[in-house]
Amino acid sequence: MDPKLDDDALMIRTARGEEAAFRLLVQRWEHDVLAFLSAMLGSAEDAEDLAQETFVRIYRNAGNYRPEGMFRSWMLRIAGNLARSRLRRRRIIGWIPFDPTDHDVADQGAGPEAVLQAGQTSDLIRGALARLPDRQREALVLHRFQGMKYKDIATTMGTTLPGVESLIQRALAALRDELSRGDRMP
Amino acid sequence: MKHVTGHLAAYLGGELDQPTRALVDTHLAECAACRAELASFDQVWAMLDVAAAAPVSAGPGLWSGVRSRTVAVDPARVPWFFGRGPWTRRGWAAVAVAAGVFVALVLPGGTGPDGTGPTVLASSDSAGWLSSTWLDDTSNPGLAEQWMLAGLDSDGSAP
Ligand SMILES: [Zn+2]
Repeated sequence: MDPKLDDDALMIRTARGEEAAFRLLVQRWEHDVLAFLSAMLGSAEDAEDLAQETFVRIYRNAGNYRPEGMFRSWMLRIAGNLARSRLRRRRIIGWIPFDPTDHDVADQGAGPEAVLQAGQTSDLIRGALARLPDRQREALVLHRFQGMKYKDIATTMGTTLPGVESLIQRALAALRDELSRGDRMP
Repeated sequence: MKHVTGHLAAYLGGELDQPTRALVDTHLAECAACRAELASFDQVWAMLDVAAAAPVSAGPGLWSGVRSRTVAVDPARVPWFFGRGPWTRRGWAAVAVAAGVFVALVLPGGTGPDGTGPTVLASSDSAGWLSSTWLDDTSNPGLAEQWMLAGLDSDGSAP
C-alpha cells in the first residue's frame, strides 16, 4: 500500500475491504484520535477504548463516507460524539473524570526538572479542562491540541463560526479563572 | 470605550479577520484592563501548549483490537456493491434503481419522520453532509438511515 495515498483514497479502498488501506489509515490517525480523546476524557484507558471504537465505526461506515477531503473532520466528529456520550454516562454514575497519572510526560527529551514541571503544568491544565462543559472543552481541545482552525471546528462540531469563537472564549476564561483561583498560574 | 475581551481567544489563536484584528490592536494600545486580560489568557495559552506537547502513545493493542472487530471478523459489513469483479457494474445499477425508488418513496415530504432523516442522502454540500445529524449521538435516525448506517448505534455504545 502506497503510504502517500490520501485519506479519501484509503477510505475508498477500506470500503472495498482492503485491510492494508484500513491499517494505514489507523496508523496515520491513531495518535490524533488518542490525543483528542485523552484531553476530552482525562483517562488514557478510556481514550484507548474509544479510539478503538472510533476506528471500528469508521470501518463499518466506510461505504457511506463521501470522499470530499474532509476525513479528519468526519473522524473527529465520530470521536467527539463517542466522548460526549461517555462523559454523560460517567456523570450519571458519578465518575470523577481526571486521573493525573494517566498520561505519559516522562519522555520529552528535557532534564528531569523540566519534565517534572511540564508534567505538573500538564496535569493542572488537564484537570481544569476536565471540569469545563463538554462543548467548551471539545472546541478548545480541537483548537489547541489538534491545531484546527475555527472554520473546521465549526464543521466538525456542527456549529457556526461565532459559536466556536464563543465556546473557546468562554473555555479560556473559565480555565484562567480556575487556575488563578488556586494561584497556580506561573 | 467598548472592551474587546470577547475577541481575545480568537486574537491569540490568529482567528480574527484583518479589520477586527486592527480594532483589537488599537483598543489594546489604549486599554490597560484589556491588556491585563490578554496577558492572563496568554499564560493559559502557554500552559495549553505544554499540555498539548505531552506525548500520547498508542498501545500496541490498538490496531489488533480494531482489527479483531473489523477486517478479521466482519468482511460481510462491507457493502457488496463495492465488491470487485463482474458484479460491480450490475451492483451499482441495482443501487441506482433502489436509490430512485427510495427517493420517490421517501423524499416527497422533504425529510424523514423526525425532520432530520433521509434528506442527508440528497444533500450535496459537504458541510451540510458532515454537520447533518446522522452521526450525532443525540439524533434519532429514521428507519431508512438506520438501514444505511447499520452498525452506528445512536447512543454511542458498542453494538
Ligand atoms: Zn478594554
